[in-house]
Amino acid sequence: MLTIRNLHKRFGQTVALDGVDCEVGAGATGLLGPNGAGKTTLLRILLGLLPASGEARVMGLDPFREPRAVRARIGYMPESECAIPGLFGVDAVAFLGRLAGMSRRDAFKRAHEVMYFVGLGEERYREASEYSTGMQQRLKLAAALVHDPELLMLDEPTNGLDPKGREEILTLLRELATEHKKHLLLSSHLLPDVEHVCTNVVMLRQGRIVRKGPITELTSGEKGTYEVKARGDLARLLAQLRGLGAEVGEGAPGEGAVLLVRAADTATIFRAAHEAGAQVRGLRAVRRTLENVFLDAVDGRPAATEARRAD
Amino acid sequence: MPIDIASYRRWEGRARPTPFSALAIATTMVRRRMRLRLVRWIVGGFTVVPCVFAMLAFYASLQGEGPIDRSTVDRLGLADVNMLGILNFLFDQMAGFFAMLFAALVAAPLIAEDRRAHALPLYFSRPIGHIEYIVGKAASAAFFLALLLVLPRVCMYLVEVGFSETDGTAMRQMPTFLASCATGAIGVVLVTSIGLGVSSLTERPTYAALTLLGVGVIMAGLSFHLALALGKPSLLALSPYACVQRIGMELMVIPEALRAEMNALSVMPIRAAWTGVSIWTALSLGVLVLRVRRVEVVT
Repeated sequence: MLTIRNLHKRFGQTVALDGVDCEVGAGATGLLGPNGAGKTTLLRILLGLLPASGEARVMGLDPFREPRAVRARIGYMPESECAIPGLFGVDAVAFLGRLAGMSRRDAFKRAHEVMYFVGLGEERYREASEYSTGMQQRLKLAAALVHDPELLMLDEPTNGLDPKGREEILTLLRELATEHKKHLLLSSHLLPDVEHVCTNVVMLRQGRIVRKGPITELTSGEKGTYEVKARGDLARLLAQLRGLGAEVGEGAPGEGAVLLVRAADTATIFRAAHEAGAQVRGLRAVRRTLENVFLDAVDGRPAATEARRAD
Repeated sequence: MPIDIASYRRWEGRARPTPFSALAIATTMVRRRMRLRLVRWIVGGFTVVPCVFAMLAFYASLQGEGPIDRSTVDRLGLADVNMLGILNFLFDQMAGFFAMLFAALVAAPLIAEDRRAHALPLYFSRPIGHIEYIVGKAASAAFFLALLLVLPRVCMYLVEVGFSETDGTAMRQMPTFLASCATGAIGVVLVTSIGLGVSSLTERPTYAALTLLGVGVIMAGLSFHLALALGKPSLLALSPYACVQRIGMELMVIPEALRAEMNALSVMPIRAAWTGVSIWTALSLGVLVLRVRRVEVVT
């Protein structure tokens, strides 16, 4: 869906993007990074609004050479509160549909549909500038969807929404990605939002990509690490585990303690328990949260997988 | 109202970049402005109706039954001259003021309120560029200004042709009519470009409107006094709308007596007026394009 090669962008002396290189596949992808990391700049370059050095392809199109063709296939939801002043909600959405290249008739028909879809059906004949922040977020989403784009670029889509509204929008986005096969590029500071909707993430720091990949892979950085709750001769169990090549946390565990075991697979643990005559009462794979991964990335710590490779 | 997830349907069509996006912007902006009662009132009340009444009153004066004193008509030699040209000239004197006032109402807010509402990212996330955006906005402002500066001239022409008792009036008056429309069109382009140029400088529509009025009033006063003090009528070209009036005076057939009466400063060279119009228009368009490009990039 997106191919980016060695993308550089400067604003005067400030380096906004410093050799960004990545491929983003189909599905929902989160774009994460602290303020000033270059997320919005990257989105704007992909929309063909900013010139930059390097290469980029959006659905096979070059945003530097064919920016309009790219934008016709993208639905963009800006971060800031924005509205077309003086127009009713449905008129604003239809107007933006017409600017995307729809006929007037199609644009109005579709505007009514998407207004209902985002939950603004009853409010569509109110002036857009009178909408609350949450309603404006929904209106922006409706405007991004009106021309039924293949790719949605969403910049902080849940800003200003109450918990219920946020949950609804996230469910809707997830639905769009899974049921309607839309590609999503979701830029957000809210990690739970990204986890809720996306299957992949790209993390930016100071204009560079510091992590990328499927969320499941990034959060299972400690692959093969398990919390084991066992009963029986735990000292013998530890010895058996070590004998089978597993690593076990230091210290002699007491009755009912939880052991942190790094092993090739769970079968190794069960085999050691069997041979030690111990009973495994609980076994849980240790997963890192996306927040752990994000904080590591932002602080410049190497990824767990990289650290393990270094070991 | 909750989100209706099941209601999402694919759109079978395909959105493509269109060369008519400026037209979509223009028509939407015109409809939006027409929702304002004040705009409707000015369009209806200050353009066609007064001009038609003025035309009829003037005809009546020539018959000795109208509001203009018969001796004035005779002294200025109006009974024997091209009435359409004179009316257009008089119209220019009046419309100059109203054009800036109207531009403050319909042109000044166009970009300022978009900037205030942060609407530009919404526009530029669509397959349009800053030129389409500016052309669309300019066309909507030009539509209203044309109602004020061109449509009354068309009405005056039609009234004259309709009430004329002699044959061939339509063709005889055609050059004057076209010249008057050209003058109106120059005024539309000039005032639209200044209006949008000022509008692009601020996020406050009120400030833009006041600045536009200031440009009209201050430059008119300044150029008039400078022209008087220095004895150089060409300095009138500093005033945007004075330029248009001078060009109109040259384009249309104005009797010398009336010209002298109306222009105590003597006739300004038409070249100065053209230069003034060109400079004002180029300056405004330059500001407009630079500002919108910058805002487009920053947003």
